[in-house]
Amino acid sequence: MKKILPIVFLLIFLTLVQKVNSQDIFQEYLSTASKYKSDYEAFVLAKSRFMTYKSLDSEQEAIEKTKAMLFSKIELVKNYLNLIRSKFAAETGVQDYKENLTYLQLDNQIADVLNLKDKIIACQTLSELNEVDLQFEKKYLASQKLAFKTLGLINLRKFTKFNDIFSEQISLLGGKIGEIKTENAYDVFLWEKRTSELKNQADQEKNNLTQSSKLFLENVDSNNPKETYLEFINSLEKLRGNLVSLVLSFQEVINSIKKL
Amino acid sequence: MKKKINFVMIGLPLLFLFILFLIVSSKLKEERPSSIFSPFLFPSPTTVPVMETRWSTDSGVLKMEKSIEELKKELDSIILKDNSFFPPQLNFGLEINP
Repeated sequence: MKKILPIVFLLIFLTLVQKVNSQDIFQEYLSTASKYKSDYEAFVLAKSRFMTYKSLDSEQEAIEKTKAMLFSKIELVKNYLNLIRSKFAAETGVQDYKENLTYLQLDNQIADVLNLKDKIIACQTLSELNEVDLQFEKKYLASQKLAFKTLGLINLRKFTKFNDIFSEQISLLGGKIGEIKTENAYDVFLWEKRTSELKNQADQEKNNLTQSSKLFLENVDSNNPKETYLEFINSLEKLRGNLVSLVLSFQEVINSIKKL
Repeated sequence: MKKKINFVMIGLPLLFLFILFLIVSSKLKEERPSSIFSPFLFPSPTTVPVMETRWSTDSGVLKMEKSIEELKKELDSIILKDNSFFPPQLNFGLEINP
């Protein structure tokens, strides 16, 4: 007992630390979003002054405010990708890099965005900063694609699990009906028929999930990852409705078995 | 005078006992709904005996029922159209003409 207690305390501690960490990541993301907003407003003001006065002082101020805004934007994207990374870890339970490439892709994307910092520091003029911002836009599109892909993968794993659980229960139900047939010498034809129908429908839903996820993964790298993601979510919504109907039919069979 | 003594000697203890009975009964009702005292004060609805059949108590059937119930709960609770994790809206292009 004395040997087990430290392990139990350690597990509780690790769980709490993990929970606090994911909350911290979300708070950090929110605070950088707020900082980016205020830095962007300061940039707009400095830009407006420069466009009006065209003086050296106003240009210098515009350069400084643009740099500050770009740094905030980089931090915001970095923290957003970190947030997605922690959501993936929390919802899928996948912790190992070797098991999933998503972590590696997210880490590379974060490093790629952070590389822009050195380029911003080296900029001397507003034109150079504009050039870096346009590069950033391309990197941000890549970040969005990766984020939507990760969100899609999280939902895909959930629905794969739902399908697997249902198929397992259908298989168990088939076995139980066989047991009832042997023990009670009861005509179980209707149950067998219904179970077989449920199995076929569950297989059909598995195929639908495979098809829609394939389509999603092929198209999420397009220029409109959000639209692709929303289409995938619509197909999952439909799948959820179908699975609920299957579950209700399954429950009807169970209830009629219980009355026997 | 005699009537007053009777009320103090008999009436008050009876009143006290009645109040005590009410308190004890209500406490027992909270802790043990099937207490023998409770029906006097809070008659409970008549319970219908559950018909137990061979397969209604079968562990395999009950396990399946529980698993499918949990699956339904998960399917009902999942929020697919949640956009709180969508990428933030950012502005690009400085639009400055030096």
